[in-house]
Amino acid sequence: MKNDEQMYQSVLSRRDAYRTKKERQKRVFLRAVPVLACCCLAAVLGIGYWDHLKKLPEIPSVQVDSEVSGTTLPVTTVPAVTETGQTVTTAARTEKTKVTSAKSTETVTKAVTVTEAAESAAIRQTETQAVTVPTAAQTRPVTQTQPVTQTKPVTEPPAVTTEEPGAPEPPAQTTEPFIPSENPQNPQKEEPGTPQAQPLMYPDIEAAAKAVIDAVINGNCPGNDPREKGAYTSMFGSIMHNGYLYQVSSANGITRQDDRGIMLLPRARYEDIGAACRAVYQGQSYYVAFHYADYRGMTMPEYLQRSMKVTSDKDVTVNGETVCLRFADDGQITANAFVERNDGSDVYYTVRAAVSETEMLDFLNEMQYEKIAVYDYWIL
Amino acid sequence: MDHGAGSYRRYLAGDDEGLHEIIREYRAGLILYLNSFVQNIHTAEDLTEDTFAELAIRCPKFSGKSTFKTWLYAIGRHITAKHLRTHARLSIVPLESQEYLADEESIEGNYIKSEQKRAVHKALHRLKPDYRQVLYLSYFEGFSNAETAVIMQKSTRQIESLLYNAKKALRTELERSGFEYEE
Repeated sequence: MKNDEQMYQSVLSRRDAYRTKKERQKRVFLRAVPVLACCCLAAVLGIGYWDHLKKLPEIPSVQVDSEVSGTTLPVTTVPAVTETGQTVTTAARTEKTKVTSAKSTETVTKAVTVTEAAESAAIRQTETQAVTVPTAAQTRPVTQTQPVTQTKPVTEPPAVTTEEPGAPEPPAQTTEPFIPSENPQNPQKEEPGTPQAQPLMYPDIEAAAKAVIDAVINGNCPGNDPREKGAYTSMFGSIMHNGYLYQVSSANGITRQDDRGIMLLPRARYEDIGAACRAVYQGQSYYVAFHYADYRGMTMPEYLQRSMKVTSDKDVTVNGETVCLRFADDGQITANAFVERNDGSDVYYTVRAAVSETEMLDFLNEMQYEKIAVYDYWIL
Repeated sequence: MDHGAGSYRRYLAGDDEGLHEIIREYRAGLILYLNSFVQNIHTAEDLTEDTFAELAIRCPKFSGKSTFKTWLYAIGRHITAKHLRTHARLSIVPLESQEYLADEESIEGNYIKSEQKRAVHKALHRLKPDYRQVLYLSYFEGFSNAETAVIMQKSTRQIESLLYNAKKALRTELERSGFEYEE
């Protein structure tokens, strides 16, 4: 039998053993829980990442259908408009082609297929392809470089020129307005495979307005790729927000080339949403586009600098408005100036032509524009 | 006077001497009480130690609704009942185990001073367990019927009835053994 003291010591020893055991369990628990929590978290993240990888869309592989000199070259498919009004698709390989420019005949390495329908955007696209040769372009879908064309019959042949040197033509007929080197500070970093929305051609401004209404009201927005469709939706929305479509007027000796239609421009890396058409003045062809600007209360040079990352070469004043002139190496001049300053929907024009500075200023002095309300074509 | 509550509070406050005092004061009585259950003085001693260990380790809350002794005996009874359920041990006294009887007599002699009470306590072993418990709590420990009811987890009326029948059975048992007593 235990006496009181022995039982007391026995109880204390049992208590101490119990406390020691609890302390050990607590230490083990505190060490094990973070490790187990990290393992569980890693497992959850792994499963989530695995599910994410399984849900990634597959990039469709593209069959490269041509090879030149044993090297696969990128293919640019650009529709051309024939005299009979039929739209045909021609494939142009990137190869050495002689083209005639206003100043001199030079040999350049680039894709030179230029069509009426594609306008400057098509050239931009072609230029881009030439830059990305050969690795990225080999996997680029053909459909990405195909402009959306809604053309009407025209009387002029495609502007593709591969003539012999020594037979110069008027500058306006050789190259289209856009100059890829115009924006050197903002290099194109678009990933291969990223579709780019192309300009939409319409026979006239009324057809364009109806298309805007049809897209916004009825939801009939062109485009197959979701991003392309999104670009068009944004474009139609901006036009609808402004409420007007602009085009140059046939007045003061300026003749708008209605047979070449009007082109709606989705947002691109170097230009805003707008509408473009062509005009002829004193035998020279001018590309005139009216853009919807995003920035308010800024001068044209400031806007070009902040939005397009380009710098005006020369600022002149025409009809009380500051006009920014930029001179390209191939002789083209680009002029930008605001024409309307509305609250939140400023409009400025871009005039581009391979003319002299004096001719450009004459054109700008004589140029008038007209606009139609898009809502007038909303048929209930 | 019941000093167990104060000693227990001091133990909870960190003074181990309080536990020592509790063991000194209640050890013998609790052993004898639990022995009325298990009929084995060593098992009763182990169960008593388990009861004190329960106080020392789990530190159950003493609410003060009853005396500390009542509360402690109730804990001991609960532990003993659990022990009996676990081991399903019959309360049979191994009469041939003289060693056990010697230990029991030793602690009995220390705790129960009156010769007459010791004779009665011996006679308790031949009664039913409930009779043993109720007579021990009432007669030897001096618990009231209400306190006995708390310890045995019965109603007061049940305790009164049990006590009446237990006394009657004890009288018969004492008469059989030639014990003389006065009414």
